[in-house]
Amino acid sequence: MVEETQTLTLDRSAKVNIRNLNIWYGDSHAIIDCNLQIRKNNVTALIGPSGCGKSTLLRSINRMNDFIDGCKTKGSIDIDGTDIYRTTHTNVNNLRKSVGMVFQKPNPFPKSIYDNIAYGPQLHRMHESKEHLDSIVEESLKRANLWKEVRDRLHDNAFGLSGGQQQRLCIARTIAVDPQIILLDEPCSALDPISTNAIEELVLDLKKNYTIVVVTHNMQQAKRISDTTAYFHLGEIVEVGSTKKIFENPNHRKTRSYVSGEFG
Amino acid sequence: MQSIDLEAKLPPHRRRLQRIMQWSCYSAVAITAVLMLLFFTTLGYRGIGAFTQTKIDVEVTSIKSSVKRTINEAMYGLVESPDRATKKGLRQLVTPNAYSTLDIKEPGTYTLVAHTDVDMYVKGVYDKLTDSQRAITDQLIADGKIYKTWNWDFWTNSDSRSPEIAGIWGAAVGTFYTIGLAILFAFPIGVGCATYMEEFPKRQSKGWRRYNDFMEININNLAAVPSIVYGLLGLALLINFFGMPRSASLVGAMTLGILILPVIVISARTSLRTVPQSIRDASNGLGASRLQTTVYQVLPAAMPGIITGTIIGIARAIGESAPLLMIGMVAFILVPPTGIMDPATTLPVQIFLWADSPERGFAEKTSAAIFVLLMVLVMLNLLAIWLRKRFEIKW
Repeated sequence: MVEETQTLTLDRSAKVNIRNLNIWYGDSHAIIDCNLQIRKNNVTALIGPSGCGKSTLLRSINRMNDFIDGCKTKGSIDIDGTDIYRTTHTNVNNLRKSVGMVFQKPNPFPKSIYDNIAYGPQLHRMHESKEHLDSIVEESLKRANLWKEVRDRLHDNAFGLSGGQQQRLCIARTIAVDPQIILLDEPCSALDPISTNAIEELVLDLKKNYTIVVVTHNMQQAKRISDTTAYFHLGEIVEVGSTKKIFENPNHRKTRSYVSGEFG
Repeated sequence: MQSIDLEAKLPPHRRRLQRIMQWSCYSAVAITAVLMLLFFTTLGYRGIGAFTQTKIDVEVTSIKSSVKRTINEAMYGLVESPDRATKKGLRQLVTPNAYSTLDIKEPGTYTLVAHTDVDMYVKGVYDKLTDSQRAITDQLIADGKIYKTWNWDFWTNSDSRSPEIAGIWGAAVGTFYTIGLAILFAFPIGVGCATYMEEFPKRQSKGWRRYNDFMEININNLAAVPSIVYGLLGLALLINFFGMPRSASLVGAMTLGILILPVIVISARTSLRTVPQSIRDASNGLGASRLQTTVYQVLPAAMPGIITGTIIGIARAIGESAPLLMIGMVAFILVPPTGIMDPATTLPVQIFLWADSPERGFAEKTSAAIFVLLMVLVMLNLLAIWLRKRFEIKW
C-alpha cells in the first residue's frame, strides 16, 4: 500500500529518516512498516482518522513511547544519521532535549511562568549565570510570541494564563532547551479559533529555525501550515507528498476521500 | 409536542423513601453532634478543676533548722495558740512536697500548695477533713488565706505521687521527643517508599510486578494491624534483639514510626497519583531523567497532600498508648527527659497512669490531660486542613 516512488528513494538531505518502523502496543500492531523522511526547516503534517497511529509515530521520534507499558518498537529512526533506537540510556535524555514535544492539552508546570521556562535550561545546566538564564527565558518567550503578554507577570502562576497562552508557554518551554526538532501533538485541539490562529502563525514563524512535525485532526490546519503531508490509515502511511499535491491531487483513493471530508 | 412539567411530584412511594433517607441522615448527624457535645462537656466539667489549684498564704516569721519545721511553724501561726491535735491537723493542710521543693531562707509571706484533701474540699469534690481542719479551712477561706488560683503547676510540673502537684510537662516533653523522632524516621522512609512504588514500578518482568503487588498488599495490611502488635515488635526487635534501653523516647519513636509508616505511604501514594501524567510527560519531554522528573516536578506537586497525610499520621501517633506500654514507656517520670535515651512517657500514657491511680485528686487531672491532648489533636487536624486549602493545586 506504501507509495513506492516516494518512500524508497533515500533522501540524503532529510533531517529524520524513519525506516521500516513497526510499533506494537501489546498485541495490537499500531504502526506497520512505516517509512518517512522529514526535511529540515519544514513543517510536516501527519493526518488521518483517529487511532491510525499518527501520535504513536510522533511519540516514537523522541522515544516518549518508552514510558508506555508493553510498547515494542522495531526498525530505525535516524536523526542526522544517528539511529535513536540504538543509543544508551543517558542519551535518550539528550535526544528529548534536541527533539522537543508539545502535547495536545497545555500542560504547564504548577509554577510561575518564569520557572516553567527556566526548568529545562536548569536541568541541562545551559545557563552560566542568573542573567543568562533571564535572557534565555526572555528569548524563548519572544520566539513563542508570548513575551509582550507576560513580561509584567513573569512570576505569576502559569495556571493563570488562558489556554492559548498556556500552549504558547509550552512551546516556549520547549524552545528554551534549544531543540532542533519540535513535535506538536494536536497542539490546537483544546483551543479556541483565535488561539489556534496564534499558534499557527507561531508555527510558520518557528519553521525558519526548527524542523517541525505536527499531528492534526484539522485538515484545514494541515493545509495552512504544512509543507509536506503524510496521510495515515490504520497504522500505515498511505501517501506522502507536498501538501499541495495531497490536498489537490492525491494519488490514492483513500487519501482523496479523507481530505475531501468523506470520512474521518 | 409534549411540555415538560416542572411542577410534577414524585410518585408517593419514592417520596416516602426520600423522606426516610433524609430523616435518617439528619438524625445521624444530630446523634453524632449530641454525643460529641456530651463528651466535651463531661470532659470540661470534670477536668476544669485541674486548671485551678488551692493555695495557702502563710507568714514565715522565723527560720528553723529545716524547711519542714519552718513551714510547720508558719502553719501553726495561722491559728491562735493551737493545741497538739490542732497542730497535727494544720500540718496536714499543706502538701508534703512543699518540704522538699521549697527553699525558705528569709522571713516573709509564702504561698504554699494545699494538700489534695483541702483542694478537693474547696472544689467540693469530697470531704475527708477532720472537724477541726474543716473549721480552720472555712475560717481561712473567709480570711482570704486559702484561695483557688490558676494552676501553673499543672503545665510546668511532671508526674508526682501527690495529685496536687502533678503536671503534664514531663509527658509533654516526652511526647515532643517521641513524635519528633517518629516523624524523622517515618517521613523520609514513607515518602521514599511511596515514590518508588508509584514512580518506578515500570519494569517489564513479571517477577518484578509480582513483587510490587506483594509489597502493596503488605503495606495496606500494615495500616490495619492493631497498634499493640507494633509494641510487641518494638519490644522483641529493638529492646530484646538490639538491646536498646527500655522506656527511652528513641525506642518509642521507632515503634511509632513503624506504626505511622503505612499511613504515610498510603497517603503519599494517593497524592502522587493525583499528579497528572501530563506533568511527567512535559518534564520527560524536556529531557529530564525519571529521577529528575520525580524530584523536581512530581514530588513538589504532591507535597501538600503528602504533608497533610503525614499530619494525620502524626495525630494518630500522638494519641497512641498501647505500643508504648509494651516498650516500657509507662514509666513514672518525675523529671522531664533531657535526651532521647532518657526514660520518658507521653501524654496518652500519662493519662492512662493517672486514670489508674487510686487518689481521687487524679480524676480531674485525667480529664484535664485528655482535654489538652484533644486540643493538640484538633489543632493538628486544623493545620492539616489549612495546609491542604492553602497549597492545594487545582489541576
